[in-house]
Amino acid sequence: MAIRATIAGTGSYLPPWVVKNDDLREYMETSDEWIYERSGIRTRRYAEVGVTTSDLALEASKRALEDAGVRAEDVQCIVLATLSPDIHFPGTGLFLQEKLGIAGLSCACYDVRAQCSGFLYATEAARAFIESGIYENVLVVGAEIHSHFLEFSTRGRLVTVLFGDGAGAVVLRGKEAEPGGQGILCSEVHGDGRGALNGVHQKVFDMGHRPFLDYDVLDTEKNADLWPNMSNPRGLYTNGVIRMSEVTLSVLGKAGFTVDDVDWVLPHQANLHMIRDMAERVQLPQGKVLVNIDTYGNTSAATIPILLDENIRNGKIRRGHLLVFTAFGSGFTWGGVLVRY
Amino acid sequence: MRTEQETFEIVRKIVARKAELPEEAISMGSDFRNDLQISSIVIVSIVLAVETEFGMELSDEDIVKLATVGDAVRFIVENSPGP
Repeated sequence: MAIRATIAGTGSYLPPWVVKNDDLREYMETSDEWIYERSGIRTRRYAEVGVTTSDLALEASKRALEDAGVRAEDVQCIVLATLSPDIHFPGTGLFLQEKLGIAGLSCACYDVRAQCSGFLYATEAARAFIESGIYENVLVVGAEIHSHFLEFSTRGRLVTVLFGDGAGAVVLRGKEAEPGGQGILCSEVHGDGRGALNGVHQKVFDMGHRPFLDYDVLDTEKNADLWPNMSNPRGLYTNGVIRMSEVTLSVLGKAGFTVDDVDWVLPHQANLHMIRDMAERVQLPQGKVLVNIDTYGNTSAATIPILLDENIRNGKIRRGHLLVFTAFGSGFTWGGVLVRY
Repeated sequence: MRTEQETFEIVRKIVARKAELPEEAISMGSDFRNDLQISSIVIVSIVLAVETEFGMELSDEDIVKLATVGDAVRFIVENSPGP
């Protein structure tokens, strides 16, 4: 009997500190109007100093497990996507496992490094584990703390104003596949390494150097590598719209559906203009596209699970709805997931 | 090959839709930044729609040179592969 990966439960967590656009004027030349017109963002959340990515992941995971009715002890594998790991190594999935109180049970802990597409990469990996029978319950998490590594100056504003902190989690559980039944019906993820340093990246260190930090981190003239760098905003925008559109149509087509069959599309929340262009390109009514970028900004790997959880809890997404997740990110990476909730 | 007028009508619709402006506000002489007050990100959105519509690619250098709607229309007429 074929097994399908179904969404058993969802959870999300946003740190309570709300940062408005005008609050950023304390650090850089900007304004609410400038940021909103270019991104659709009004506010974002920041984690307090001392809070780590795995702390946010923990809160989202606890909510997802409770929603699924699954005990942490029954999680056989954690797949955590982040571009803001707690430390360089080991992986953040291990920190989450320990905080969930299940370290002694020694479940598998994967970290996924696929930036804004990370949650979809993690979901596809979890789907493969479940469909192949390796695991039955997989905890898939997207979690980020951006605010601790953004450059709070006019030099860094192009990137800094866009990002916020947050986490979302999904418990995927294997179930016998039924025609028209619940679960992930199709998924695909892609990468194009030509975009690795030609989009948005953050170098911090260079393992080709000995020692691997080859600049004075406190020297504001020389420490540009310490901060995120967006070298190709037009390339990101254009590729993002095209790739998110392509994968949306691709996952639908492969499963025998069209845009008309979709109840909701959950796009990565990078920029409101990109989201609108993507919807127009695939001829999707804007009313079927879920958006929360105005409130949370871009939370990278966490945008889609936060959006999913929020709209399940507010009743927009209901059991039986056909959903498409689509994302594009640094790398370049992109992907799409078609799921019957 | 589309005429300049036909191209203008298509470009005007794209600009109006992307910049949320009435079509009547857009003429061949309209300067994207100074007259229409279009932000850089909406310019990127317009360029992508134009590239898709006319089956062409614009370089960053091309875009910088196209100050007015008329500049863009003439560039498209001269450089697009045609419908």
